[in-house]
Amino acid sequence: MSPSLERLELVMEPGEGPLLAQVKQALAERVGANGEALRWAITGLASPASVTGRPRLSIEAVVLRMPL
Amino acid sequence: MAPPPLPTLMIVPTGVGCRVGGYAGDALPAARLLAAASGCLITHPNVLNAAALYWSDPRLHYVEGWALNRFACGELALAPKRQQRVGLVLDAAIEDPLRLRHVQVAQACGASLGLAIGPVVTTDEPLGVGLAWGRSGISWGSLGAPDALLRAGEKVVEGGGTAIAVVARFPDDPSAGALEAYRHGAGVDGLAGAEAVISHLLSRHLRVPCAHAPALAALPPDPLLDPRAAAEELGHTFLPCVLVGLSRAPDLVMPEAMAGRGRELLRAEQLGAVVAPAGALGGEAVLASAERGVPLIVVTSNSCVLQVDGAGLGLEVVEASSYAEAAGLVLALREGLALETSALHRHPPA
Repeated sequence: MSPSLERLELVMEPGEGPLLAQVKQALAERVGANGEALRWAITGLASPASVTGRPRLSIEAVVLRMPL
Repeated sequence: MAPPPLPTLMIVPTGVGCRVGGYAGDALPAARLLAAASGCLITHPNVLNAAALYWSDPRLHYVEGWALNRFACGELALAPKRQQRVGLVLDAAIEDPLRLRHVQVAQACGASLGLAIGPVVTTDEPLGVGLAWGRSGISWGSLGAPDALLRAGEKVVEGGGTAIAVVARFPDDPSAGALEAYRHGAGVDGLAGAEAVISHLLSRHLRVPCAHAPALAALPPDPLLDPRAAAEELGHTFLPCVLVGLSRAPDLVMPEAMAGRGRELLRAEQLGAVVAPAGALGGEAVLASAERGVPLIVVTSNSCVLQVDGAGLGLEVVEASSYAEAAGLVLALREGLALETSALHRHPPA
């Protein structure tokens, strides 16, 4: 099996504290064990829905999917 | 006496339609100014690549986006280098006449600039570049055969290359209207997203400096061509700037190789400032630096299709209305001046 690339879009509601670790965690959970977000960025902010008052984040990524 | 350099990171995200830096190396003047102000500017090929045009300056450090992110996160260091041997990966999909043009650019950079070039490796199957647009309007892309790219990159390294320039055959017209808008200075670079994916993939796999140039058929002359996009229409290829940039790119030094090299390495903890467009702060390098407390200078005039700003992300920022003002702020930091000093601002607080 060869590696492959796929696009991913997700929306997350960040909690308190630094964003970067939360974004990486959300990406890792969504991508799963056999992949890695090769390139990603927060590409949109939506009005807050959570108790933290922080905006929802739209994230777009290209995922490198590797055979297990 | 000049104060010591203030290592500064300049980011202009690729494929998001920035007014400055969203075209053909058109952020280069801003990078030159920031390099002069800081004495040490780390930035990425999207900022410095202007196809047939380039600017070489020992204060400018050319670091591909994946490596730049890893650097900003403290996961690798940079070792400035006098010379890299730049190997060339050519996509098997490139037609023979266009391939010859690229090989001749490499030969010319050896003969006329004295760069160390080679080996030249052709992928064992076409890379199959695909272009796409995200919901936000930014450009993305993919490869049909990423493993062919990685195999060719491995051959370059085995053949003595210490940096890799990749040339992939791109679709000539990404979408109706998009190319024309880009050439007229009103659109997003439709190729840039795929270019970033290619160089990220190779950097991640081989841990050597990499950059990409697309191979495209020549376009008919356009009298309405925007000067910011014009550098891409001066020659037959986009390759010269990539070869020059990589020829002095810093080595990527992983943690296990850092011991005993303290003073020669550039590390994330040395960063004294980050400069980025005000609405494009949602990338890894900016977030990592800002969360470490590195002053984040945002250029409000460099708008793009995104509106991911400091207020929305909860980041503390210092606003600059232009790159000239940003360079002044970087110089102030380098001189040890407090940025809130009223005398530095156009309208001092009453």
